[in-house]
Amino acid sequence: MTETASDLTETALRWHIRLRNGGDADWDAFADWLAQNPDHAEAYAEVEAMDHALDSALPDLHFPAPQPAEPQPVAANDDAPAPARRWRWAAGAGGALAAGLVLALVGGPFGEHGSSRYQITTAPGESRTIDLDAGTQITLNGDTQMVFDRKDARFARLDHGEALFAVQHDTQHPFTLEMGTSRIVDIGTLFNVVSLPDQTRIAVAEGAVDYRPDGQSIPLHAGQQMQADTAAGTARVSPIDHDTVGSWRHRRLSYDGSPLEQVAQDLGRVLGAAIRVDARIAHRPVFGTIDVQDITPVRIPLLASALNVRVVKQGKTWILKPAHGPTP
Amino acid sequence: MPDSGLLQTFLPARPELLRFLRLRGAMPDEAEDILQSMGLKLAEQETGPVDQPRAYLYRMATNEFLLHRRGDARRRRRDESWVDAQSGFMREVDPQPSAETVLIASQHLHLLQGVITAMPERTATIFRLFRLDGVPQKTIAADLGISVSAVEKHLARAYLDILQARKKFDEESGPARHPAHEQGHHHD
Repeated sequence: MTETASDLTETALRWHIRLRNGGDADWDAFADWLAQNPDHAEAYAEVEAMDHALDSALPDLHFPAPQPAEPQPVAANDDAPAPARRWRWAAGAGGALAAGLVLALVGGPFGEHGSSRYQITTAPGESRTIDLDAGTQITLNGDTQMVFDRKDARFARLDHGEALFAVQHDTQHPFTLEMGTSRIVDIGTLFNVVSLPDQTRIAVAEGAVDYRPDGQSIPLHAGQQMQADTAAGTARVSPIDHDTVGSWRHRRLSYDGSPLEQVAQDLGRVLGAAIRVDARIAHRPVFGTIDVQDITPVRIPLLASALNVRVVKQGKTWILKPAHGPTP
Repeated sequence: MPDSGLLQTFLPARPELLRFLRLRGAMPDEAEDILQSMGLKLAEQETGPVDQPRAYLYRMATNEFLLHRRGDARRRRRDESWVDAQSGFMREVDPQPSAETVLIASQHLHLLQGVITAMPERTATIFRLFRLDGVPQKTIAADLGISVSAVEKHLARAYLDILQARKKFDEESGPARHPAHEQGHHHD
């Protein structure tokens, strides 16, 4: 034995820290380190379990406030999207565990559930998948905030943004999604939800859900979508092609007459950019599929001809204007 | 085919990933199961081009392995309560263990809080950014104007403090009673 137990633990710890954002070479070297001695895997598993055990305690811990002298570069510009360097879109897609590690501190408004609830937030352009239990998977689109309950895998809350839900049905414990004063109770299903300040959109690909705004009940079946104006309390149900539900996961957005305003919001979430629409064309219907596989925010002008608009950049915001309107 | 990049990396990397999973402690058929479900997920999820694709695959394999292990323990617990509910048979329940679990969880929290309060402020802040907010080391280093290796030293210090405090705690409160162990092992 050339290394003592505490040396070994420290080495395992350093691997654990490095691997969180490690590249190909780090992982290859880590595999080789594991191969050197069976004790290495054991020491590493111990460190990993210790770190995992922190999950339940973290939201309740108090950390010292950062020194006031330290400027907060991200919080300083409110309206700008979070810097792209923080998260890569593709890097988030693989890791249910990685997403689970990003627990944000959530404060008081949860009453007696306080400590078991945790929040997951995605930056614009980022996407994450959360496994709540073996049969229930939730994929968060960019610029989305959700709250889950560590003690209740059948609960989720969508504060804002968009998410795709693949939910395993359990009559005894129906899955409930809360949004403001509305809730959705699943009847075993695959469905997509967009939650905006004054609007909720639900599209069902498989099974059925029950949308319950303020205690009412609107059943939605596979192949149906609903658009609710939450301020006016109105909802419109229309057919939708199953295959297009949640197609944003594949960076393809499909529309069958949705207003351009909505298309711009969807694009903004997927691309991680602020996109606004000139009021004159905000309600123009859009038909067809937009493939944003190779689109990055700087390439947004490439969408101009597909959407029949003129793209103008003002500061950090892209504005879609009428293609043949007066030039400013 | 820009979207099949990961799948194209996956096939040649399969033997390496198998070796890795075995080294992590997966049984041969468990490792095969994991690789198969990875292949299926990769085939259907179409990710964009990923730089460092092998790191992505290693990470995915690690996640699947841990979900597998932790899921097993959870499933076993669920099956037991299901049997209880279906058979209508009341298992003799001693209220003591759950009260004790609650007590241990709150002791654990108290202990962690003590460790964090005792840390130098900068160490605690870096640990919070890394572990709670999920900020990459590189970003923390850039924001604080220090090197990545300095950030990693702070993190190692913080984790070591927690590990040591936990070991002491385990020795005082008896063996096999720690929340961490519930994730991976089955208690009767």
